[in-house]
Amino acid sequence: MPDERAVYALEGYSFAKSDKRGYVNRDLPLEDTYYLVAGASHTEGLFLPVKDRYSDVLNTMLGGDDTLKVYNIGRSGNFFSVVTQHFDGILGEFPDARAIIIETDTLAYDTKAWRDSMIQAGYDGTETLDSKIAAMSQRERLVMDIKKYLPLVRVLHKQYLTKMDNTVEDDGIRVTDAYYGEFDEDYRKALDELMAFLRSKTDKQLIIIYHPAVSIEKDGSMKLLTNGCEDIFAGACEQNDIDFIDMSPYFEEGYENRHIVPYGFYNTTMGAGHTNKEAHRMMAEAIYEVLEK
Amino acid sequence: MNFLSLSFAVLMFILCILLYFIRSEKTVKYILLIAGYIFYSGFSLPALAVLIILSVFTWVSGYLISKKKSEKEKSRMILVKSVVIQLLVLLFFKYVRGDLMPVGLSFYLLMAISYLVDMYRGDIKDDTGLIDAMIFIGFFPMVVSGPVMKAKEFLPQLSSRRPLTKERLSYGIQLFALGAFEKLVIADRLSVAVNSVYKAPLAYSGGSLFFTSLAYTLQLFFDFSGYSNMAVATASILGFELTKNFDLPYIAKNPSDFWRRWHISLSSWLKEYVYIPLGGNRLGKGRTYLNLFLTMIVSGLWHGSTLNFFLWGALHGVGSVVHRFFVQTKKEGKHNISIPPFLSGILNFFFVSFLWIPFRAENLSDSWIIFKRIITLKPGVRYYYVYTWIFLLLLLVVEGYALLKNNGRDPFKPLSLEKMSGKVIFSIFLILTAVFAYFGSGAFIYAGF
Repeated sequence: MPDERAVYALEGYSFAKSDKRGYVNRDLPLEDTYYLVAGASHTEGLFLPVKDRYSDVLNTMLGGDDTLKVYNIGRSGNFFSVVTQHFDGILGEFPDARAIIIETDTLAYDTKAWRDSMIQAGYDGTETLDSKIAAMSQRERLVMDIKKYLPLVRVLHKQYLTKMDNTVEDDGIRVTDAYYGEFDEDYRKALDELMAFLRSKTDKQLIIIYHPAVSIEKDGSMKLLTNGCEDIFAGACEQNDIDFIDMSPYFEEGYENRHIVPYGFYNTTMGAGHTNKEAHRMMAEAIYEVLEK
Repeated sequence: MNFLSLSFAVLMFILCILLYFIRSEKTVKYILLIAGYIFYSGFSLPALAVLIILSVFTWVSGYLISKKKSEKEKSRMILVKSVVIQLLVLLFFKYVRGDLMPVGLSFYLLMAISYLVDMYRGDIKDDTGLIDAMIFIGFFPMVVSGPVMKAKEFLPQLSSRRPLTKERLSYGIQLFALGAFEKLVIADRLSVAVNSVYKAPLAYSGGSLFFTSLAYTLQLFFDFSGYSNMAVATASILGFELTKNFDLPYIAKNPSDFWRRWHISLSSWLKEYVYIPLGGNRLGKGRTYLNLFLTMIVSGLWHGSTLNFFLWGALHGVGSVVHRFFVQTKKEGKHNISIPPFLSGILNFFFVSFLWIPFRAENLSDSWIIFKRIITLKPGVRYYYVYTWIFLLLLLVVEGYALLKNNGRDPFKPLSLEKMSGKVIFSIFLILTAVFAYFGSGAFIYAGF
C-alpha cells in the first residue's frame, strides 16, 4: 500500500517504507530518466535494508547519492511471467525509463508458460486497492483493521496458520511447478516469440537478470539449481537484442574464492530463502558492467 | 501423540476430571494404564504390543524372582536371564532393526530392569501387582524419553498418589509452559542452524563450526530439558513426583558435577545398576577408574549403536577418570594444584560442548572433519546464527542469577497465579512463547534414542 511502513524479520531484518506509488524506494527525487527494475520479492529486497538492495547499490554506483537513478517496482509474487504479462502497463506508467531490468530466480517454465507470459493482463479496475477494500465484507474489513492496528494479533494468527499447515505463509518465494523437461524445437520457438514480443513493445534497453537457487552439498561445494535451459534463454535474448545476465558464474566465483553464499541470512540458513546483501552487491555489479558497455 | 498436541491436551483434560472425582485406588490405576496405552498407541500399535509384552514379561520375571527369594542363587539366575533377555530385545532393535525400534524402548527397558533388580534386592513389595508393573513401565509422561524412574521410587507413589490441588495444577501448568518455551522457542529455533551446518560441515569455516557446536550444546539441553519439564509437570498434575532431570548442567565445575546435573535420572540409574554392581569405588583405585570408564561406555552405547556414541562415551569416561585422578591425588597430597571454579567451569563447558560434536555428527568421519576444521581454523562459509548469541546470553543470565541467588541451583519457582501480578506475568510469558515459537521442527531429540 502507498506510504506504509513495515518491519521484516523472518529472514534478515529490515524496515521498509513504500512511496506514493506503493513501491519500496528511498525518499529521494526521481531523475527525469531512470533505470526501472522489476521482479518479485528478491527485487523488492524483502528482509534487506533498502540501501543494500541491488537497485540501490546500483543507484549509488551510478552516482545517484541524492536522487533516484534506479527506480524499484519489485513486489512479492511478481515473478517473471507476471512482469511480462504487465509489460504494457509498466511501459505506460513509466514512459521515462531508460532501461527496464527484469529479475528472475528461475527459468524453469514450460513452453505453454512462456507463451502465456505474453498475454497482457491489462488494467483491471477491480484489482486496485480501493476497489478491493470496497468489495470486502464488514467482517473482512474488521479483521484487516485488527491486524493492521494490532500487529500482535497478526503475528499470533500467522503463527497459528504455520502451526496448522506446518509451512511458512507465502513470503513471496516461488511455489509454481518448475519445468525440468526436455527442450524441443517448440520450446525454443516459444522463448524466441516471447523475447521478440518484449522487444517489439519498446526500443528501450531491456535486461533480464537471472539468479539461480543454490544448495550447499555434503562435499562442501555449492550446487547451482538450474534446469539447464540457460543457453537457450540466452540465445533467444541475444537474437532479440535483450541483455541477459546469468548470475551463475558470479555466484560460483563468490563461493569458490570468498566463501560467499548468495542466499540466506544470519537468522536463517545459508543457501536457502532470499538473496542476501552479498548477492545483491554482485547483482548490482553485474548490471553495472552491462550498462557500462 | 506428543506433549504439544491438541489430542494430548484433551487426554489430560479428561484425565484430570476423572482423577479429581474418582477416589477408588483400583479404578484410578486402570484409568492411568488405559490413558498410558492410548497415549502410546498414537505412535504405533506394534510398538504398543512390544510395550505390553515386555511389561508382562517383566512382571512375570519379578514374580518368579520374589517366589525364589529364599534360594538366592536361583533367584539371581532368574534375574540375570531376564535382564539378558531384555537387553537382547534392546540390542536387536537398536543394532539390528533400528527401523522398527519402538519409541521409548531404551527408556522403559531401563525402568523394567530397575523393577527386576529392585525386586531381587527386596526394595519393592513381593506382591506388586501386574497392573502396577504395567503402569510403571508404560507411565505415559515418562515412557517416551524418561525421566528414567527406579521402581522403588515410583511404585510406592501408586498407592499414595497426591490429590489434584490448585497449587499442584498451578505448578504443573507453569512448569509445562517453561518446557514448551524451551522446546519451541529455543531448541527448535536452534535446530535450523544446527541441521544445516551438520549436513555439510565441509562447507563451513572452523569458526562457524565451533559456533554451531555451541548452538547444538544449547539445542540439546533445551530440547531435552523442555521435554523433561513437560514430563515432570504432567506427572505432577496427575499426582506423581518424577526425578528432576536437569539442574543447570552447563554451570558444572567438573565432569562429576556435570553428571550430577545432566540427565540426572539416567546418571543415577547408571550409578545404581551399573557402576555399583561393577564394584564402584570399593575395589581399589585402578578398578574405580575402570568402573567409571566402563559406565560411561555403557552410557554411550545406550545412546546409539554407532562408533560416534562409543567415542562420546569413551571420551567422557576419560574426562571423568582424569578428574577423579586429579581429585584423588590432591587428597593424597601428591600435588597442590587448584583451578579457580570459574575457570574450571569454563573448561568443563567447552569440554562437554566439544564432545557433543560426535554425539550430533552423522558419523565418525564427519566428527573428525569438524574437529579438524575447528582446530585448524579452516576458512569456509561464515555463519554465525544470531539466535545462538541470544540464547547463550539468556543462559548466562539464568546461570548468573542462579550462582548469585540460588547457590548455583535451578532457580525456577512458580508464580502465584492467585495474584493478579502472577496472572499478568504468566500471560505475557505464554504470549511470548506463542509469538517466538518455531513450528518447522518438532521431534524431541531424545525420543530418537
